[in-house]
Amino acid sequence: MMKYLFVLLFGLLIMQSAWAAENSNLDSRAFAQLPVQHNGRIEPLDSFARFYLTAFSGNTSIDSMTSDEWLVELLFAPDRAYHRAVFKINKLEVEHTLALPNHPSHRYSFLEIAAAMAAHREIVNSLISANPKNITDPAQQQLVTLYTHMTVFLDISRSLSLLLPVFEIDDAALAKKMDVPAGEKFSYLEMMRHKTVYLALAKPMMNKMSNHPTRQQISLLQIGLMLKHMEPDKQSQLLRIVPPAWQKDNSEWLSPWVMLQAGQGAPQTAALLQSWARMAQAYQNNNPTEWTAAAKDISQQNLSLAKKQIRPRALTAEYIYNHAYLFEISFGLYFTALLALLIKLGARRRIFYPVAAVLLCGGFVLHFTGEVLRIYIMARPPVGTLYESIIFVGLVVVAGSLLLEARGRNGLGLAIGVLGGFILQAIGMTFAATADNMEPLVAVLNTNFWLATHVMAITTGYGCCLLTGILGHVYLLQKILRPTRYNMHQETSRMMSTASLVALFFTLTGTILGGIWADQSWGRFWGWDPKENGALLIVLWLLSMLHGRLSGLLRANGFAMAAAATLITVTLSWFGVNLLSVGLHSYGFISGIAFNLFLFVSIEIIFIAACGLILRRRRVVT
Amino acid sequence: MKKTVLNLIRLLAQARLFAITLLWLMVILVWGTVAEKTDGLYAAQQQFFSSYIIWLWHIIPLPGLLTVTAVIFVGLMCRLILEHWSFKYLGTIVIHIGAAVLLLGGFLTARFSHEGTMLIPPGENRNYMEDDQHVELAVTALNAPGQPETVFSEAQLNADGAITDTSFPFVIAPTAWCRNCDLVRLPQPVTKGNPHGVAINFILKSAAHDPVEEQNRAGLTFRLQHAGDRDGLYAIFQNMPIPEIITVAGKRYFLDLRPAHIPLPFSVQLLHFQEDLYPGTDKPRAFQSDVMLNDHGILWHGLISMNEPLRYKGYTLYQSSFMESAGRQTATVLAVVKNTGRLFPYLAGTIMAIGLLIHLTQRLVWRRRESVL
Amino acid sequence: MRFDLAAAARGDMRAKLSSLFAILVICGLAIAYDTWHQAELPPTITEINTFKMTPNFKFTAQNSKTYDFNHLPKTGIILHFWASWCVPCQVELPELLKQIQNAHGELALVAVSIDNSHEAMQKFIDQLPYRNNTHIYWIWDQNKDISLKTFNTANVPESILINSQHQMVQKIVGDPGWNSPDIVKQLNELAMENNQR
Repeated sequence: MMKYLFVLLFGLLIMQSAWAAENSNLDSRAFAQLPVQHNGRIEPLDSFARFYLTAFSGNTSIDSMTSDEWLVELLFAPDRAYHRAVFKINKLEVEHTLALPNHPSHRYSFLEIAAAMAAHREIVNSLISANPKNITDPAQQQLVTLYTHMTVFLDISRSLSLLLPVFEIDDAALAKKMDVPAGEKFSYLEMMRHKTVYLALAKPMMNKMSNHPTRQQISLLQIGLMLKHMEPDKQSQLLRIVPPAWQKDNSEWLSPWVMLQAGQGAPQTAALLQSWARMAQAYQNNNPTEWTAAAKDISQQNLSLAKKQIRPRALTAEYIYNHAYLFEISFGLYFTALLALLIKLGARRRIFYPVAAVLLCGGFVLHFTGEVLRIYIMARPPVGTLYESIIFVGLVVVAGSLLLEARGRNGLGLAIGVLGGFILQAIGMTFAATADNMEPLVAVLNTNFWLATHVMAITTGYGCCLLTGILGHVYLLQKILRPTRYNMHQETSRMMSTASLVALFFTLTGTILGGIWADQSWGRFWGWDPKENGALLIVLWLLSMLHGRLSGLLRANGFAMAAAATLITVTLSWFGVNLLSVGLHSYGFISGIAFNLFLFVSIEIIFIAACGLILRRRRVVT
Repeated sequence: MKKTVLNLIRLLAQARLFAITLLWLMVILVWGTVAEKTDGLYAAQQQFFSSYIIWLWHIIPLPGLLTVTAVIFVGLMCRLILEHWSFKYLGTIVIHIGAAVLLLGGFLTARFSHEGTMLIPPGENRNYMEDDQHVELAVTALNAPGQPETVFSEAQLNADGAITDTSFPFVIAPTAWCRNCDLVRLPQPVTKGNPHGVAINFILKSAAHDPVEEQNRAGLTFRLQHAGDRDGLYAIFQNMPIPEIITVAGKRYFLDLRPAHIPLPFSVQLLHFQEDLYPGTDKPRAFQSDVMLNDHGILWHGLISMNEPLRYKGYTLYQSSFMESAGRQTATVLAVVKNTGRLFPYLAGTIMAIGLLIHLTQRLVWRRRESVL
Repeated sequence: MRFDLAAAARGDMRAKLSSLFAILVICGLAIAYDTWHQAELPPTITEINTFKMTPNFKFTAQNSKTYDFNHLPKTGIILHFWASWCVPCQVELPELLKQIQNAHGELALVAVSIDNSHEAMQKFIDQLPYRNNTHIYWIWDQNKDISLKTFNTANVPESILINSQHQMVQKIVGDPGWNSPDIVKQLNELAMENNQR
C-alpha cells in the first residue's frame, strides 16, 4: 500500500478540476437500501456504511453527515473524502509516533495519516510485518489497526473509480480522433473502449518526448498518467455490489473491479454498471431525480440477477432498524420509568405510578418491536449470539414483570421490570458497541429449529430465574424493612414460588432440548461441556431449592435466600462459563469481565448472608 | 425385618435427602468444570463424572457422580413406591417417572455405548472406527493379503511379559512404554545393544499427558528376538513418518502403533465431501459427506451433514469435522456412536415436560392454595 | 405429607405396577426402534435452471455483411472474445476451431476480437486452420461495443456458451482446454440439443 500512497499523492497533483459543490439534496435513502454482500450476508448499504464509519471514527455520523452521506461521498467523490477527518486515534502515543499535527478532536484525514505514515515508513513497516502475537503494547496495536483501517478505507474509496467521470479531453481535434465529446468528462470504463485509438496515438510519443510538447501531447500524457494511477484500483474488492451472473445462487458477490478482472461480466452486469455510472453522473451534476431513478434501476437489476438472495423488504426493515434505535430508546424509557419510581418513593405522589407504568409498557413495546424486526431481517430466532441472548432475556424479564404487576397491582412487578429492563439493556448496549451484530452464525448453530426451541427455552429460563432472584431479594428486604405486613410477605412468597416453578419448566425443558440437539449434531446427549454443566447447575439449584422447601428443610426465609442466590447461579452459568473458554460452547468467549463477575458474586453473597443473619436474630428475639 | 425395610424406604424417599444430595452434586459439577480447564476435558470427565469415587489428595474418598446418581435413583424409586397416587399429585408423579426414565437411560448409555471417529479420504472405504483414548499395536504380514492383522491392546503392551503370537515368528519384548512421548535426538548415535531405525539416533521420553487427547503420541521401545539378523533394539511411535517394516525369513511385517480400531458391521465409503463457506469469507456455513454403506453386500446411500446424522442399525454417524492436507482432497471426519439408551432422554424429556405443565396448570389456573409449591 | 404404607400396599399398587409395566414396554420399544430403524433417503432436489436470453447485437463479419445476432440460425453458439496479442488466445484458438469443424454445423462460433487494428487481427486469422468454416463469424470490435459495452468483458480470452434457443448457458474464463473431455462433453450437449428439437 505504501507504494500506492505515493502514486496516489502524485496523482492528486495532476487531477483536473475539483468536484462540484455539496450534494446534500440527493436522497440518501434510495442509496442506503441498495444491497451489498458483507461478512457473508446481504445487507443494505446503510449497515455497511455504519459499520465502517463506526470502525474508523467511533461514531455513526461525521461532520453533520450521516454514515450514508459519508459513504456516498467516499464512493462518488473520493478526493473530497480523503480530506475529511474521519480516523479517530485514541492513543496519544500513536499521534506522537506519527508526528501528527495535534487536533483537539483527535480525528485525522486519510491524507494526513498517509503522509505521516509515509514519513515514518520504517516504523510502520516493522509493525505490520511482525507477528501479531509479538505486539502487546496497546499503542502499537492501535497503529497496526489504524494501518488496516487505512487499507480498507482506500479499498472502498476506489470501488467505483472505474465509473466516475475523471477523464477529459479539451482539445477538439484529439477528442474527435478518440471519438469522445470534447470538454465532457468520461469514465475509465469509457476510456477502455477507446484504448486502441489512444495507444495508437500515444505510441509515437513514448519513444521521444520533445521539450515543447503540444497541447495534444500533454492531454495524452495526462491520460496515460491517470490510467497508470488507476492500475492499483483493480484490487479494490470490499464493496461487493455486483451479484453473481454466472454462478449458482448463494455464491460470492463481487466488487465492480474484481468482477471485470475475474471475467464475470455479463449483459446484466453491463446494465448494472451503467446504472451505477448514471448515479455517479447524477451526483456530479447534483441531479436528484436522475439520482433516485438510477437507484431504482439498480435495485431492480439486482433483483433480476439474484432473486433468491435478496429480500427487498428485509433490506428496508434493516434500514428502519438501524435508524430507529429501538433498543436504545427502550433503555431510555426504562431509565425514565426508574426515575419516576424513585421519585414516587420519595415524593409519595400517586401520579408517578401510572407514569412509570406507561413508560415501562412503552419501553416494552419498542423492545419487542426491535426483536421482531431482528427476526424478520435475519430470518432466524434472535438468540444466536451472547448479545442477542442479553436482549432477549431483558425482554422476558420485562414481560414477566408486567404479568406479575397485572396480577398483584402493587407496584412490585413494575419495579422489577423497570430495574431488570434497565440493567439488561445497559449490559446489552455495551456489547452492541462492537462489530456487526447481525453476523451470520457458525455452521453448528445454523439451524432455526434448535435455535427456536432449545436456545429460546434456555434464555426464557434465564429470564425467569432472574425474576425469581429479584423476587427473593424483594422478599428479604420486605421482611426486614416491613416486618409486620404479613399479607404482603405471603403475596411476594407466592410470586417467588411461581416464578421458580416457571423457571424450572423452561430451564429443564431447555437443557433437555440442548441434549437432544447435541445428540443430533455431535453424537452424544450429554458431554459434560462447561456450558452444559452451567445449565445443569441452574436446574439442580432450582430443584434443590424446591425440594428443600417441600421437605421443610427450608422455611420461607431460607427459601427466599436460596431464590436470591439464583442470581449468582445464573450469572455464573451465563457469563462465567464463557470465561473458561473450553469445550464446544467456547465460541462465546469474552475476556475482562472476570473481575466484574467476582465483584457481583461477592456483593450478592454478602447481602444474602447479612439478610439471613438479621432475620435469624429477629426470630430468636421474638 | 419388614418394618426395617419399610422404614429404610421411607428414609430414602425423603425430599430433603434429595435436596442435600443435589448440593453435593452441584459441588462435583463446579469442581469438575474447573478441572476441565486445568486438566483437560477427558481427564476431568473421567475423574469426576465417570467414576464412583473421587479421591481428594489421593487419600480421601468422596462420592463420585455415579454413586450420587445411584443414590438419587434409589431414592426416586422409593418415592414412587410410597407415593399415594391421586389426581392432586399427578404432575409431581409424572415428573418423577420422567426423571427415573432419564436416569435409567443415562445408566444404559454409560454401560452399553461406544463411540469413535472415522477419518475417510474421498473414494476410500473404512469398516472400523478409531478410539482416540486407547492405543493398540498392530502387526500385519504384508505379503499375505487377506490374513488378518494381530492386535495387542495397551494393557498388554504395558504389562511385563513378552509379546508373541503364532502369526509371526519373532518375539517383542517391551522395555519402555509411554502414553505420550517426546522424541529426543541423542547427541551421538547408539552403538551398543544393536539398535535399528529410529532407536539409533533417538530415544522416546515419557511426557506429561496432553489434555487434548488427539495430541498424545504413544511410543513403545522394545527388543526384537528370534528375528535372526534383525534382532535388537527398536522404537516405534504413533504416526511415524517412515513406517517400521521388519523383514524376517523373507516375509515383511509392518508394526503399527495406532488408535484402537473398533470394527463396524458395515463399511463406509466417502463418495464426496462438500464444504460450504459463507460467500466472501472463510467462515464455514455447512459441511456434508456423501457416503455409501456396504453391509455384507447390501448397499445404502446416505448424506451426512452438520445437524443431520445418518442412522443405521443402531449406529449413528455424525459429521464431526474434516481434514485438509496439502495437495490432496479434503477427507471427512465422522463421529460414530452406538448408544443403546439413545431415545431415553427424548422420552424422559417429554414426560417431565408434561408433568411440569400439569403441575403448573393445577397451581396457576386452578389456584390450589393448599400446598406451598 | 404422610406415607400410608398400608394403602400403598393395597389399592394403588395395581396402578403403580401397571404404569411400571407400561413404562418398561415403552423403553423396550425405544431400544428396539433405534436398533432396527433405517434412515430414509433425503429427497433429491432437482435444480431449475433459469438461463437468460442473449441480448441482440449487430455485427459486421469478415465478408463485410452485417448480421443481427437474433437472426443467426438456431444452433449452439460459442461467443468468444479474443485478441491476437493475447498469448493464451494464440494457443487455444486453433483447438477451438477444430471443435467447430468437428461439429459439422451443429455449433457456430462468433469470434469477437479486441485487437488494436483490423490488420493485426486479419494477419493472425490468416494462419489459422479451419478459418473459413461457414459457421464462423470473425468480428473486429473496434470500440468494444460488443465485448465491453454489451457483455461487460474486459479481459481475454473469455467465452460464453449459448444454446440453440439463444440462452446464455455458461461463462468460461480463460483457456479451458477445448480438447479436454469435460469441455468436449459440454460442447456435445450444446450441439445435441439441436437434434432433440
